[in-house]
Amino acid sequence: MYARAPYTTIQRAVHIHPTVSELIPTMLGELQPLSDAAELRAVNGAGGARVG
Amino acid sequence: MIKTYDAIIIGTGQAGPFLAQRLAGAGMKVAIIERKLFGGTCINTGCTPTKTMVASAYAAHTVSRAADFGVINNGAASVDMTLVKARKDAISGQSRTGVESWLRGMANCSVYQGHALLESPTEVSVGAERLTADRIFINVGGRAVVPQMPGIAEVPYLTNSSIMDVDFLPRHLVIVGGGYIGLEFAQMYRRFGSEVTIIEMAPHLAQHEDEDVSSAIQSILECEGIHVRTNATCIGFSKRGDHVLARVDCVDGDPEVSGSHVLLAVGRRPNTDDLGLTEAGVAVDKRGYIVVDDQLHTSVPGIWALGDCNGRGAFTHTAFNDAEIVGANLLDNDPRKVSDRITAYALYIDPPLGRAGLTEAEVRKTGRRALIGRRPMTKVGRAVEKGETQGFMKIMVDAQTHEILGAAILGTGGDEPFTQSLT
Repeated sequence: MYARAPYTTIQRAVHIHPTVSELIPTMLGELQPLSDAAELRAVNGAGGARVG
Repeated sequence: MIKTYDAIIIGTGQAGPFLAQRLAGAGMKVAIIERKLFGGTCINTGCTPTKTMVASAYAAHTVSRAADFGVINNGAASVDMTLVKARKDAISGQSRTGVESWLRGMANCSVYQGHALLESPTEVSVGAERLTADRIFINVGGRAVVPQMPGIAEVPYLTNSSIMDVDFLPRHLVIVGGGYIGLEFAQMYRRFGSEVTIIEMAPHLAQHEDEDVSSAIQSILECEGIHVRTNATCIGFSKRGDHVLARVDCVDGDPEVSGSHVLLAVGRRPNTDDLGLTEAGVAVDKRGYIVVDDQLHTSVPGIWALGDCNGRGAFTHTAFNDAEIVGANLLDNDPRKVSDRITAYALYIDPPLGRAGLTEAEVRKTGRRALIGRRPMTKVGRAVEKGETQGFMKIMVDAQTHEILGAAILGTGGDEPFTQSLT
């Protein structure tokens, strides 16, 4: 963000496996318009995701 | 006799010693004043001791679910609070003595202990001593708010400072305030073995976060058996035997919560009420924060305010950045400013929340076209492998410029380089 670089900079970087960071490019590859985000949340249940 | 310095720094919290080092290193004669504990909030009652205790709580939690990892513990594990406190005191104490000896050994720097009072825009008294300098840096930090709730004067209560002295396990800790401080203590004490209830007046915990973040935090805490009472208006207290009764006016649930101890975690206030600021002409806002411009000048030329007392950040990293900004402007002819700073912080529950930039709600409020990516931690291999799949992450980007606008990672490792790489 300080670099004001486009998100594609992080998306194209190669991240260490296995880390949480390596999923950032994946997440950036699945961007949706923000206005539709409420529906997206309902689909993947991200807000309440946890182990049972 | 008045002693003359080039700079006087009031307070040894995060910004103070670093600024002292910069100014003294540039050849200035510096005086730094501490009224109580060297190192300020971070080292003594904030980051250092709480994260040390969070680590003990994490260890206790890991032991309790060892069987999930195939580790069978047939002995009876227990938490010894005197040892938890001793570990915390040792680590916190090491930092405190480190700051003090650093300052006392610093060339061109004199250390004064006592309460500082501005006698004029260029003069400060510390007890019987009088000091003068053309540059005064106020770095006095803040403390817990004790709200004027009905009955509060009649019951014993803890704050984030006094709970540092607790070396026993409260049977039932009632925490007033579901903000960052309250949530960290709630999970910590639950994991040590206390029954814990959080009372929050707002509809959501961590009310400045997006609702999906707040509700996921609530799920994480409730999973561990913490009672959460939101929408709790009209809070009041009374004593019954050796218990404290908290009255909560919620839509749902009991109107009273009976606890053995109460922790007040309803916010912070700046330590600006007994400094002589008004007499010196230094403007404060209605909450007592010192009004500063983008380069941290106060309303009085020659007086700056850094750290928690200027209301421009309430974190160790923002205080340190304040010292960098002042140093760059004074010594490097580099016009760094506070508004260059991107919001970044973490909430140290487990799993932690790391935040950078705008929240989703803030992005929506700007009205710009934006994209969002989300991913539950159940779909992150590393989290699955660690057996820590609670939470989720999300990131917002500008649809046109593709700049990253903000991110939230509530999940294992969410506080670490991962969040850093996004800022």
